[in-house]
Amino acid sequence: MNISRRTGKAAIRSPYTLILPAFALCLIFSVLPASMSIRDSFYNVDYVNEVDEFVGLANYRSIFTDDVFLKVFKNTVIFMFCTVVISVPLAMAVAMFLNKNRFIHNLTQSIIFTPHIVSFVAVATLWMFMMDPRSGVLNYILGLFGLPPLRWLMDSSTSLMSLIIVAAWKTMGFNALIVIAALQKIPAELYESARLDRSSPLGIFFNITLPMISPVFVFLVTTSVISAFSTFDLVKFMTAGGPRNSSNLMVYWIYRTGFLHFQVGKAMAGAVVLMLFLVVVSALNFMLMNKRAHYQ
Amino acid sequence: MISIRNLKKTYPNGFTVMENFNLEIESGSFTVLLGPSGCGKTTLIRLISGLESCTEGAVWIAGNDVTHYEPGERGVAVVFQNYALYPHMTVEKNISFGLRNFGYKKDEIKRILAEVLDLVGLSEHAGKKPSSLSGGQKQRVALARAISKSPDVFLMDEPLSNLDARLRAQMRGELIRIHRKLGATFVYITHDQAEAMSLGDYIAVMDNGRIMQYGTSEDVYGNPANVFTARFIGDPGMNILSRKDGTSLGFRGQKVCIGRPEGLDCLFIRGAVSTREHLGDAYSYKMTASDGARFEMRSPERLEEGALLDMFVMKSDLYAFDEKGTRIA
Amino acid sequence: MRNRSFPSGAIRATLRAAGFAALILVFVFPLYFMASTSFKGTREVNITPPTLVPSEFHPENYAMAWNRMNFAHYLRNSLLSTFLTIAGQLLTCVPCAYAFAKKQFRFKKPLYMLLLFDLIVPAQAIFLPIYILESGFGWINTMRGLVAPFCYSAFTIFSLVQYFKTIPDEILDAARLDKCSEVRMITHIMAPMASPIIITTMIFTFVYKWNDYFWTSILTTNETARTLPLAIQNLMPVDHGAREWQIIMAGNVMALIPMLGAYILANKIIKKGFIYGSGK
Repeated sequence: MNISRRTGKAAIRSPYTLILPAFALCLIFSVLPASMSIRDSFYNVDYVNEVDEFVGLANYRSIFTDDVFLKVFKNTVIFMFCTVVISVPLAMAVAMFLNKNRFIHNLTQSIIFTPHIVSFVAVATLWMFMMDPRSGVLNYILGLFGLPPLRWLMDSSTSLMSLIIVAAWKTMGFNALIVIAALQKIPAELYESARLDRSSPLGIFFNITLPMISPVFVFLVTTSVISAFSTFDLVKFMTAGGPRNSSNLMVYWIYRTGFLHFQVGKAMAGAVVLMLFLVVVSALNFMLMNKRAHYQ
Repeated sequence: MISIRNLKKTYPNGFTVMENFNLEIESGSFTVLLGPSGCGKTTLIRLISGLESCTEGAVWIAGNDVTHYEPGERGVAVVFQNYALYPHMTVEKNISFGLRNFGYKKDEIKRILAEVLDLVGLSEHAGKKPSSLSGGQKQRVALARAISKSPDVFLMDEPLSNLDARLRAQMRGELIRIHRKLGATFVYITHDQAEAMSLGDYIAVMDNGRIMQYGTSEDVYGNPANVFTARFIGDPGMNILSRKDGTSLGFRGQKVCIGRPEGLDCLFIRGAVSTREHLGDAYSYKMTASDGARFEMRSPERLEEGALLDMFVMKSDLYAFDEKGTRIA
Repeated sequence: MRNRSFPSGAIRATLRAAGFAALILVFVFPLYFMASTSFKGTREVNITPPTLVPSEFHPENYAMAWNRMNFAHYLRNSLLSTFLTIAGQLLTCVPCAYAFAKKQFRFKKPLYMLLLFDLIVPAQAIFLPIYILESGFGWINTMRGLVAPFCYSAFTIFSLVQYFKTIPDEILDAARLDKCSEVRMITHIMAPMASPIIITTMIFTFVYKWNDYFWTSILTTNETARTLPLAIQNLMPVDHGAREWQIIMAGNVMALIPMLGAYILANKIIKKGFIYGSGK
């Protein structure tokens, strides 16, 4: 047997060769930056003046005494909470409503999914136009119902809510489609046997439907949390965090602090807090999923 | 000839399936590896085919040490229990995929395709995807795919067990026909002793990674080397009655005669019928002897459950085993 | 008997119709409004009450948007970056998922956990170091800078691994006996069998990359490599000057058309992919 041919073949066949490209990219663009974030969060970094000194927890102390950061953190939590508490159950309700294989159901499914494929930029500009306090169509619709006009993005009391509405509008179809896919996986026999047991519609919902789609529920909560914590485009385009940081969210804060104000250490400290928060939420979700989710 | 020498297989998790394993399979034979699940028969053909590597020892095929050959270089074909057809390819593609990898030319592939599809009777289905074929047809495609590369050795891992009984019987006949026609070595795995007897020139009875007996089908049935083989072969398996000194006596349920022996040299049993099963041409009885031993009996006579009987087995139909279960007489 | 606890047929039908109407209105109206605005004249855009159908058509809005956005240049960049990303993901993720689904090797578990690392950590939390890295490589304002970080996707790998695991090992064994090389194993056996899920994940990647604004804005400082979402920015006035909504909407519509076309074509595949991919 030809030895060199053999080793050559073995190299191609080695699993390590197969995973190498993806792995290299993961190291360079995921693991390395994360470690850089963690490292720099303990340093006073200034690329312009080439300063790089260890400052311990000073960056963390500074963000947690920074009113703006605390406000941004609170905004992000509110944003997340609203997407999870409002959007996810709404998506589930819509999914139940649309879970049929008829033309009108399929068409509506396709329609509500459309915003998901529209870019955030288009969505942002479209809703900015509709939310215009003077000539916007939303205020006109409010007027039709006899409600007073809102200043939407221009008012610190409504700006965050406006962003939440837009985010919910964009993601709802995607969430609903995932729930529908899960609903269609539930074996029909389960419903038939429940009907034979004379379960009420409500009983069927709580005893069959909900447990069977609980993995999807957990998945939706996780993705909603992650997307809430990575929302950037909407903020940048629609409000730039304003007025007075009332709609500023974490990623935009990091962007502004590190990118526009060159406070890299402080921005990194914020990024690490964001990461930790997400790891904890994901871990909680994961544990919940292992405990509650019903697999077949 | 396939020759397996001092083979040892240990899985990465530390489990050793077989050790010091030796087996010679005659070329051109139809050899059946028979044993209960987990006895190592599937591992054995994976080792012969090279899908699994040997921890120690060597595999020789047709005079070559193929221990370190790739599966595709060993001149073996495997037919799997679940057919393992490529679901995204048509019947034709399923067969030609390998041929192309083997470097056959286009017109050769065409000729071989026509030949093997004709051999398994699937010429009209060449353009179909496996999902639109029946189980029997799928297994025929798998067979055709194996035949197409004209290997010296066919390794078949319970190829018929996913088929229903009628189809299985029909496919057995076809396998025998194909074996005769090709003259290649067939190594066939099954846990079904009846299938083994009907197909195999030779049967290797396996248990726990060891060969318990290796011989012709007449041999393993009529001349079992140990209690395991005796019990495993035959329908029902041999009745084994243990004796006080640790040795045991065996006899087949078909050889039990009803009545008094009247001076013949035989084993006399008195017992009662526990249950009766009707088999069509005979009845199968579960019996309980007066000393509490249980055994099975076949008889064309219809007996009532609970009936007390005198029975005997002729000495020439008795088998004796020592304490370790090895045959002594 | 089944609707004893529910409103009677007619009311149910009405409620159902109202449900459909509400859903379609909420999700179609804004998009329709985008399209109708894109044809309006300057004055008509800002009048109250807003008109549903433009009173006079101004298709020249599109020509203006096209020119002001430098549309062709951005479209080319969008197409290039999207397709390079998809190609890159196929090249890295399919072999990787194959190895994790079908091979045994040391450190498999910890390596897999590491690969799935960014399923938990959103890239948005680590964009600053990525920017710093790419400036170090001199990759800012280059196509490779926009593509390389996205040629690897934990989501794609994860989905593929899940699917590959359902392919019986015997099929791979049969291929090995058929002298199938490792490369052909991936290209001729694994990939075609997993094509529904591959198409689905690549559609996700397409949508993500085509619409990405965040990364492109971070990793570019000039027009060279910028993509369509950034082009819309060119239409927005820098200061708080008057926004020409009809032009912006025309730009939006143009940037949306390739996406929408793909969606209408792939609609069935996406849905099928979902149901197929979530394990029969």
